[in-house]
Amino acid sequence: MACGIVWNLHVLDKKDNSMKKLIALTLVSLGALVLPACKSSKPYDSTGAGGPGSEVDYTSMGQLPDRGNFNPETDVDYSVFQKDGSETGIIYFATDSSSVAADQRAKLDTVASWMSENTGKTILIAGHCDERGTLEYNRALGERRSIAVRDYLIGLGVAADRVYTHTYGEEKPAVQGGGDSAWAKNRRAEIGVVTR
Amino acid sequence: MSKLQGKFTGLLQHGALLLGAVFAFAPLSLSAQVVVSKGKLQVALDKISGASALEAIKVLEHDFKRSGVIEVVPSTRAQYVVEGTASASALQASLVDASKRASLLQKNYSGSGRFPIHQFADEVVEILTGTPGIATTRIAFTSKSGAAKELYLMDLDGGGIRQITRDSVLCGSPSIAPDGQRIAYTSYKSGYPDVYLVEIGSGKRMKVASYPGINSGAAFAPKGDMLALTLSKDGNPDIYTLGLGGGSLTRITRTRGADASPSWAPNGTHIVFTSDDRGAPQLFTAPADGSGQMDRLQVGQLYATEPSWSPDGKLIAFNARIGGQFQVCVYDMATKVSRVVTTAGNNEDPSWCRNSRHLVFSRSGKLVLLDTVSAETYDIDNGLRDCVEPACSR
Repeated sequence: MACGIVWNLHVLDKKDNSMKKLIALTLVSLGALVLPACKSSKPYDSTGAGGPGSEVDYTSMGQLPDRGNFNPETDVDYSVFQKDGSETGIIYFATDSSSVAADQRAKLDTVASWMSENTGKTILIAGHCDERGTLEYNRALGERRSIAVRDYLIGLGVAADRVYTHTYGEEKPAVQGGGDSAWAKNRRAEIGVVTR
Repeated sequence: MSKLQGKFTGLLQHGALLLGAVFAFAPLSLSAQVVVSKGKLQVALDKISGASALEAIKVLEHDFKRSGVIEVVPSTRAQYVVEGTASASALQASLVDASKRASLLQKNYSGSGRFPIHQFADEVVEILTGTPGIATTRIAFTSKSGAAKELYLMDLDGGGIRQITRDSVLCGSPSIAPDGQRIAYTSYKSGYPDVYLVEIGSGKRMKVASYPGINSGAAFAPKGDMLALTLSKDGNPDIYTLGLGGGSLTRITRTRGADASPSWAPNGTHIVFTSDDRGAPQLFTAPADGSGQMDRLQVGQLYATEPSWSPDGKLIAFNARIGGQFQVCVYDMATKVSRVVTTAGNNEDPSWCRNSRHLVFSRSGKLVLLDTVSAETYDIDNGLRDCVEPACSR
């Protein structure tokens, strides 16, 4: 069932936008966790033909919500999850990776609980990279990290339309300078609460 | 071609077999130098007169040296002689074949500054070699200003510099339209990374992509009617094309990784980009109409980003991370072999000049011009700091 809806979504890509949004919302309400299990052969299959793994495909966790009526520069409070030196709101990543590591997941459990207690709030996740990538690739990698955190939170039951994504690439390092410890601090996604 | 092969080919062309045998025992640097100068066309500039002659000669010398194909020599032993008059606002010049006393080019170039002289330099190169000159190339790039970046445009020699934006926000990834009249680039003006189009002449600017998530990495299609770019609106950073007329979107990739930095084949049929869908970032090509699969280019590097497809379609320049630093590599589509063309420092974001021979990239915040044939590099001095992401005009 869910697979069929994913397929329709792709077919509608170039057609009716409002219909697409309607289906996207339906999709989200069906529960996004079901989706990664789906496989379908689509014309945009990213894998090569033949050989092992040629049938592997991914479906998306769904479209991003429309941008909210706030400015990510001025209307996001990152201190909520970083009180008294807490790093609950900072998810760290391995080099060149956008996977949410096992040792970072407890922080997201805390954020998900906070979201269920603060039902009126929305959050923005800003992805960052260390300086050891090229600038434009890092912009995309920062967004990928943000989306990985968003997907994980949705998996924990947070509503998809309460989580916005953002990327700064390598332009806003947490720590200046080079070296392994600085780079490790800079490969991160920071979670902030939207204040308006 | 190796240096040694080049040497023998060059010498054989001059019928100097005996000399070749002698040079084979000479120090390599000396013999290599001889061959390079033999391969260049010898042009004289000492017959230029007028109030601004010295300045014009200096600019032409500079342009010809960077071209890699012309050597400036005294008129007494030149194959070609530039004759003419240079004033502050015009260059009246002709190119004469010294042996035949025939004029190959005669023209008036008006306008102030160095640009009219660059125009003449490019015409000389094209007439003598059949390949377009690059002296009139313009480069769009960004430079740091506090915590922000601004967009600039300048000539290949660092002259004619012009600040395009004054927004005090982050910006990046410029691309100059094929007609040279517009720049597409990413700006955080709204707070988010959006793609804007700015008309260079009027300064008029419009937002062309501001979907949810990232909008960045725009690259003009060869006809100038479309952009390829990265969008994440559908749940992941993927490559799309955006029609500039009706704004129609076509999705090109559908991966689970970060797809970025598209660059078009000159015939517009394919796009090369970077994707980390299968681990570390690698280069892939895909049909530009979204009709087919993506194919990995086996470039022989573990980390490959920021591809630039050469205007002649034969080469793809890209960044590789080697020993913790970025080097520029050139992948040959025919031989399927890539070579590393930089060795020192951190070299990022290569962009081809129109002759598919020279590359511009940033080296630790300075912009550099590289002749990929001779391996000569030239610093492009523009007085600004932290200059990155250069994009050459066609």
